Amino acid sequence: MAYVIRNGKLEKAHQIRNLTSEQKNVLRVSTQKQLDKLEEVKKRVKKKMSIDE
Amino acid sequence: MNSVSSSILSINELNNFFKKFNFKQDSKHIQEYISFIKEASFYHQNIIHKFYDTKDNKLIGFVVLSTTKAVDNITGILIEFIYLKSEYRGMIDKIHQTKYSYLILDYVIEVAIKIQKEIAINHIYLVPINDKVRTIYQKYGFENIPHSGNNKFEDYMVFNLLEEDFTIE
Repeated sequence: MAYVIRNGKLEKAHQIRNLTSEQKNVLRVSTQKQLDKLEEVKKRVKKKMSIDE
Repeated sequence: MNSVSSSILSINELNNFFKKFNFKQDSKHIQEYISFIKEASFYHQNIIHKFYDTKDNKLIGFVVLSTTKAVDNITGILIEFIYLKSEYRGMIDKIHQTKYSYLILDYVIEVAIKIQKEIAINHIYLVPINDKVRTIYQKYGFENIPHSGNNKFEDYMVFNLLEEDFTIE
């Protein structure tokens, strides 16, 4: 469960429904930064697995 | 060689684990958040992953993970909370030349990649507790989902695991 500070109180974050096209776009397409990070982490996992074998 | 190691906290360890931190120096909201996390963990509603500095085996912090459908029913891994001991906040791990907070986020991505191979979960979500933390996540690669909260301080953030999710139209 995610929480936010709302009006000075800790409260549950609201759910989002009926995404706008702008919001959907953020969820649909990865940024270059995200793709680079994924590549970096995948490489590390692969390296770790080959060391473990 | 890793400078940070991780393991999953068992329910039996819950009480003693939280005694190892000095939460009194954190805000009342953080303290309240932690008590919610502890209770939810007891009821198997989240998993706490703890992190140690391998140099001296000191506990450096933890991350709390669960799943959510809060973003328009698109299932994702939810980073409920990341806690770093104050002495590690903003600090750089000398081996990786990366901030400790980023090492924890790398770990979450690693977990997510493993899960994604077995269960089709393609997004990681979070809602930062304040704007300072939001900037840290943004620098790492998380994207704001604009106008998804009651106000801009409550917006969800996402890290996508697919280059393009064709199911979102």
